[in-house]
Amino acid sequence: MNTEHFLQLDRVIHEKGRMGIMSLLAATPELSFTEVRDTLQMTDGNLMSHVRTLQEAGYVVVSKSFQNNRPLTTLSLTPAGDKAFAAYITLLEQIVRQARQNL
Amino acid sequence: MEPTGAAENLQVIRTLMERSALYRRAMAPVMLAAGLFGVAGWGLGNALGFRTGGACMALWYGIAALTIAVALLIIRRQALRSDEAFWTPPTKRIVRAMTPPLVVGMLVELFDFRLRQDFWDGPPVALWMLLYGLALHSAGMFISRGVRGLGWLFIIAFLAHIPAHNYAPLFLEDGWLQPNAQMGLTFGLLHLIAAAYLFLTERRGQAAQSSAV
Repeated sequence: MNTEHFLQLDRVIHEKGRMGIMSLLAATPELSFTEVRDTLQMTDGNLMSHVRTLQEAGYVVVSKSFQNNRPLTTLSLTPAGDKAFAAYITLLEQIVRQARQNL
Repeated sequence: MEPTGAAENLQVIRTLMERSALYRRAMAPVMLAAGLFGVAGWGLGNALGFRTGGACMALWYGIAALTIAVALLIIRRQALRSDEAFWTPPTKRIVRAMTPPLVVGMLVELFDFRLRQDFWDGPPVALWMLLYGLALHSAGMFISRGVRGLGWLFIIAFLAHIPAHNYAPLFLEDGWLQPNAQMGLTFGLLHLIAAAYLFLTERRGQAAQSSAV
């Protein structure tokens, strides 16, 4: 089996929590912090920690605004995040395809 | 990483992406409000004698406007309670999906009434049912459950309208055949049926979704 694909997997995305965040953000232009937290059933601290890692990698951008005098934090993918996530999915598909061919 | 792990990850990604694109507000209170306004409008139309014609049409346009306003308020309240934005991408998708049939329905009804002047009966009411059903069906593509089914009920009501219009006079009194009663039966009762279905299923659906993450 070709292990090259496994080594190419983006370590920033290849973690359950961060993969979940990237998946949610890939399907919609932006999501609020609470929507992501509730959907993935994470704590505020856990989500913030993963978001910070994704931010440092340049994959996610965090915007803060006010809605009816209440703070609203929204998350969205950057173009680099979009590209990295597409590449991650392509690699996963290649791994699955290769495994099927080897059967 | 095992190939099975890669396949599982792909499945999780697909599930989350699909869920992210769906509209997540609870629809049961909106359906209940629409149903109650519909039934109240039916009663008001009967009480005021607005069973057909321009007054009946104006009454139902008023009920539609009131329902839209209250629905938006309910949805906004839900968004505020969960610290989420009101005008989200899924909300925009739903508005875009519903707008064409609703605008066509409104314009056709207005033109038809202007041409015929003195009544609002038969095909225009049925056409409204069809177009509203299509609007709900389109919106239902972005909502997890229930709304597409309600769209189908309105489409079936449209299909049933044709034989009903011909044969119902044989066994129903006039009042049941007038536009006000038709609107009350469809807009009022069908929304109440949808509300009952959603109240019973929304909580269960949310619990199932949470456990799937």
